[in-house]
Amino acid sequence: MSERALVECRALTKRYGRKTALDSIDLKLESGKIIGLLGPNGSGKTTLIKLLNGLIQPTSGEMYIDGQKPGIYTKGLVSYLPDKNYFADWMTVEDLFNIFEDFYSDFNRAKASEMCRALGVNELDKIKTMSKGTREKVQLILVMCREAKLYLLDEPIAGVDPAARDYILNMIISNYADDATIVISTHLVSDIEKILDEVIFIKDGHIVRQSAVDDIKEEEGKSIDELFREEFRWIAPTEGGRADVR
Amino acid sequence: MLGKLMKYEFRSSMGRIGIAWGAMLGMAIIAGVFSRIGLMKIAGNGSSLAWVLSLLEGISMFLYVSLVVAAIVVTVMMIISRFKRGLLGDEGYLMHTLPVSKTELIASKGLVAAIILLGSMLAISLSITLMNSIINKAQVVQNIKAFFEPFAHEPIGIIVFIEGMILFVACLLIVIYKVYLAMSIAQLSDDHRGLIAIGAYFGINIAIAILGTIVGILTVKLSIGTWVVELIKRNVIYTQINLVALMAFIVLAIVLVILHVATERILSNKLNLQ
Repeated sequence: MSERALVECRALTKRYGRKTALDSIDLKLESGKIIGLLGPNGSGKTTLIKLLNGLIQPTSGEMYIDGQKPGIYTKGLVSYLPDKNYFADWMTVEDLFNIFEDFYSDFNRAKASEMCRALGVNELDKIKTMSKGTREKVQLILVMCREAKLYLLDEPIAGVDPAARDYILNMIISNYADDATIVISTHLVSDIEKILDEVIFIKDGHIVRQSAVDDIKEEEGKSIDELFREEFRWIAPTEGGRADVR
Repeated sequence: MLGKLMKYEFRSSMGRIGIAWGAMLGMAIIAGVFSRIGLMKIAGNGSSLAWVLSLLEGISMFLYVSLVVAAIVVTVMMIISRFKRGLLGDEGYLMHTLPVSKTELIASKGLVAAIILLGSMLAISLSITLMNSIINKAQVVQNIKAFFEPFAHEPIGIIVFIEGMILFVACLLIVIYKVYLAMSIAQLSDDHRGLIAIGAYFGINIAIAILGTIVGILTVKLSIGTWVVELIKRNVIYTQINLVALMAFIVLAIVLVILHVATERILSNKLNLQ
């Protein structure tokens, strides 16, 4: 008997007016994996993550997390890193830790304080006085200090300098439980491919590939980055024409 | 969870409004002191000291009135911005992913907004009382005595006063929820949300007015008035004032529930965080 998938989407569709962001996708994600959700800008990655978080509603289709539709129960299971800064001006890092401690029973306060010390973040500093990079670090600390079942990380390394990327990736892989799943949405494939167990290629709202990284390397003899570049090759605009991905 | 949400909502809101209340109360004292000095006529008419004192009295009074207006503007802006930023803007990425219901999210904003609105009204009343106490203490004491005197002669007046306050708070909540519903409707669109919210606010008021008319017609048609008179006769409802308060409360509660459910349904099923 097969184990129930942690995440399951059935014919999931999302349209914004006339634009179809996700087109009838079927998807299953198992527990205990680090999964790369890879695709160019505008391919539907953020839309899928927002749908799983209940921040937007599907036009049609169904989705389940641990067998439940997105709601209060699933929000307790999911730790979400959005591609936006969601802090209010008045907050200090300590306030944010208090909020997470109040609302998430799986938030590890001691670990969060320890990570702040390691990253040189002062818990008493106001968020509005921090640099963009420091704010992103704080947001990542909040997300990774939860002992969640599913981590949905939307572009976690897009805003940080290359030197900090390795540190952040190391922080991600060393701070999650064995049975948890991490979904990392990004187009910076070469930076994250070494930590991935599985990849999902998404293009124009369609899942074009879902495979284990080892299978790809074995069958195709290529790195994920090479395969990604091949799959999403940029077609330069011709005279009078328009740019497109293949 | 509602209590915890309200705790953080208070922390988000109190900074600016606290400053506005403090400045207004401080300026009320200053304006009161200058007005009192003016009344004491310590300088002869036409003297330069009298002119300076008169100028200071005018400036302090102008600043006080400006701060009252500022407190009102800050209160209104905050009610709008706390809902907009907290649930429809970037902060929504945190709030909507907390494991709490939409009802709790909306109610926490609404209740805190109502408390702050009441707080602003109290702060304005207090500032006026404070200023008048400095100018003419005896008159203020007399006014306060005159206000409480009916309660001593007619204890039921206290109940009527409490009923009045409850209805007043319900009315405040309805005003706040109409704004919330208008903004929730506007977020369904990707553009021109401000204009749509204003249009929706007027639309909601028109809808409530139509609903009120229908309820009025039904009340007459279904002889509800006769049924209520019967309740009074049987001593189920004791006074006509209580009856009016009860009827008003039922109507306000129904409107409030409709506004809340409509807002909750939109944010549950049609949330459009950009």
